[in-house]
Amino acid sequence: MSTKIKAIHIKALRGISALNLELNGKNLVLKGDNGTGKSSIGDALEFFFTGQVAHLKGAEGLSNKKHLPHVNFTDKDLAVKLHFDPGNISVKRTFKGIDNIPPRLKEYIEEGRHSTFILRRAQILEFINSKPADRYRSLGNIIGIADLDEKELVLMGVRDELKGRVESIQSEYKEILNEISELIQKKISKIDEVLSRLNNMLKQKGLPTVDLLTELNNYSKELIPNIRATVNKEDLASVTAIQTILMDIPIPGEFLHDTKELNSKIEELIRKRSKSYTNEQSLLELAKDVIAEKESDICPVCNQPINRTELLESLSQRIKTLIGLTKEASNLRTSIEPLKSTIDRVVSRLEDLLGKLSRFDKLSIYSREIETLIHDGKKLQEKIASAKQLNNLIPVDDLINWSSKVNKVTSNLQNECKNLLNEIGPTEEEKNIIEAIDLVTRVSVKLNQAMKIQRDLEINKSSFRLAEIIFSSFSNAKKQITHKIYSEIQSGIKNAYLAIHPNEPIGDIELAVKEKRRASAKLDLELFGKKGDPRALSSEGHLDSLGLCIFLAFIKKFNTKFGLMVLDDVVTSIDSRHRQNIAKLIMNEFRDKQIIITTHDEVWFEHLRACQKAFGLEGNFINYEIINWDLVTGPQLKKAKILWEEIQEDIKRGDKIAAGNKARQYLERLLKEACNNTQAAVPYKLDGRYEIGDLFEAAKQRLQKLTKGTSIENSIVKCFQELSRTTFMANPLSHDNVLQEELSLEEVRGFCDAVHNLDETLSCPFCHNRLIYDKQFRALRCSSEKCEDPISIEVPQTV
Amino acid sequence: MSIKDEIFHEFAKGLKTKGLPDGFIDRLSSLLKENKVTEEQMIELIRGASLDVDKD
Repeated sequence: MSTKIKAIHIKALRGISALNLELNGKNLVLKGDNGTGKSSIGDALEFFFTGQVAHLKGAEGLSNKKHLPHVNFTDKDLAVKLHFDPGNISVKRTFKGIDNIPPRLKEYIEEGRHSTFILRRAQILEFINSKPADRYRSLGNIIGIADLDEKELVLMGVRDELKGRVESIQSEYKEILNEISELIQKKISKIDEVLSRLNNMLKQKGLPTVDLLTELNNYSKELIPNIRATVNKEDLASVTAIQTILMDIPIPGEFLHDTKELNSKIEELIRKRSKSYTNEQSLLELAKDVIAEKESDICPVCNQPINRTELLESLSQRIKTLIGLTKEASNLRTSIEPLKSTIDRVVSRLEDLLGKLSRFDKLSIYSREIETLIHDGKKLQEKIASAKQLNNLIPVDDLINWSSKVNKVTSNLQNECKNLLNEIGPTEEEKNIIEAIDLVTRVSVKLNQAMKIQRDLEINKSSFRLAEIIFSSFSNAKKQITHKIYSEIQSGIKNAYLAIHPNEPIGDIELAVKEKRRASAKLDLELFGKKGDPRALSSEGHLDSLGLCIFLAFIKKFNTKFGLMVLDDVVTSIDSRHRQNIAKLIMNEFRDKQIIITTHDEVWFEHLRACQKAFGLEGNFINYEIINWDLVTGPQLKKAKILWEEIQEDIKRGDKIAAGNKARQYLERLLKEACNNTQAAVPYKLDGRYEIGDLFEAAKQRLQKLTKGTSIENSIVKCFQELSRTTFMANPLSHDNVLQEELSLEEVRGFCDAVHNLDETLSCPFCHNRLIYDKQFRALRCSSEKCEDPISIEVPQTV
Repeated sequence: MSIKDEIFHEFAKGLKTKGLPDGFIDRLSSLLKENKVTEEQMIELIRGASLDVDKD
């Protein structure tokens, strides 16, 4: 016997303060208005099995511990306890962890931890709105691997960063070889060429030569005793050291020119970002702007309550990810790295310098200026790091200003050092020695730097190679497995899609990973003999059902060992007839699963209930409605009754207003279904809110035309006659109206009966499923494929 | 095995065929499986591995 959830106990989670949901191992269909805690049940189940809720983590400022608990409780109060059958076992999960899992449940809970078993409305909406370029991500969202895209981005960023470092160090190495070339007055391309040239120069001065590069450091110590004792050797060494640091500070002018070019690239990327071209990024940016500007806590699209701060943070994170994924951004990150390294180097040298100036009064007066330059340099470092993330432009003016101050103070200090050396007062011979010491010291310092840079370059090259291997291996593994999944579910998607759209000329549905792209999916649908992107060939409703089919095919193929499936409000833009087919598909193909379906849509709720009846599965389902929700008590549930049963109870109690009100809703739903199922011509309304007055005549005329001369013609005519006579009551009974008092219970009962008669007339007498007009067979037929004695009424030739 | 696990398994297999040591592959996979892995953490790990290779 397969494992089923017997009861769900939720405490302090999202919109639920406390809720006990007794399922007895059955499937659940739950109807409730938006914002009444329906989705919290899916969140609770995800938390139980995985220890987290994926859509509440990842983005900055959004965390499970902060945002999963109910606002009146803390994370310590949050608990989800599931009661399982067989075995009558309870297991509880809190933020501290999950109870010890009994051996019998280990496999089930472990499978739940790994599986994708919840489909939410947001995922379907993202899929519907995604352009081909964004589809890989939205598909990843449906099959539960979207967050791997973020990881891939991190790996790509690491590769870019290391590539940038290698290029930066290479140019630093080249630069330092140039500086050594200048010192020894000969162009060199490698370190090995230095010693022979330096010895030549020393020979010309009549001074001893050096055997090995490693001895350069001691050369000065050996020569300094040749300088008279009156010369302060410590001062001499200090001035030489300062001169060495000063050599390494100036910022070349062409470097600033490159920065201006970089800035124009950043500007281009930022400008692209703000251009309203239609892709997911611009859609997200538009959403972010609208939400930021509106300062309202209600979503402007679906009118649902939103947490504005969380949503804005989440949108910013998504936009950042999308921008980061572009190749231009990747190249730019690499190009900015040398600039960043130069600023880092200069700031570090200025800090070295600061510690050495106090020895000399003439130099220490520059300390304050150097401190300011260090402070400003650090600010520039921050701004450049931020520009790397495309948050702002590089502050070129500040950079030019800072560089010019740095170069000026360096030049002044170099002059002061020369003056100091003159003051120390060596003889011509001593000057010759000092010059040689200076030369050897400078070359030695530069050589040490060059060798350090060389080692650093090797490590960074090796890190870059490793990062490249890691990134490409991750990307390939992701692509390969995703491709495998796509091919394995392709036929399942088509079967499910055909079950929902049985009479449509659908050919192949092709889902594949684009080989040459990093993260791109190809999704083609063949319709009316044409193959192409589903957006081009089908409606929003078709895309909605296609997204659902991908999820269902995935569950069917991969969740063979895990029996739970949650569909959270997923059929928003699918019409009534196709929803019926979805209900049938679920009842037919997923009987082995324990299904939890939530919806705010009354018609879909009724379809699901009718289907339970048609398939003889009433005993396998529990149907609940959320009748009220408030922050303190959370959702209040009651077992759902068929609307007609509720109306009869109201009449029995003498509550004519309640009965009449429900009969009005009942009639509105029936007329919507009748118009949809018979393809009646209803005058179009932009807001899509059709009421009885909009539908009545269209349904009446269409049904009378379709049934003229048939066995149900009289019933239809009588139904509409009776409704025409009584429907006027709908309005006064629904609103506060003086006529309410004038109406008798008997009159209201007449209206209710007329509505119910229409329901009966439009239903199959055998299975009670709805009659639909089948254009191909030119007949009004029972919509259930499972019906054992389906009614079929041929429509007149004139139709 | 979940799809994510399958991807990580394939990833590890790919790195192994490129000759990377098991210990490093394990550390890398665990870091990547964390919720909010950053570029800095990843660079630190990679540089550490490069230095080890350098020492060898």
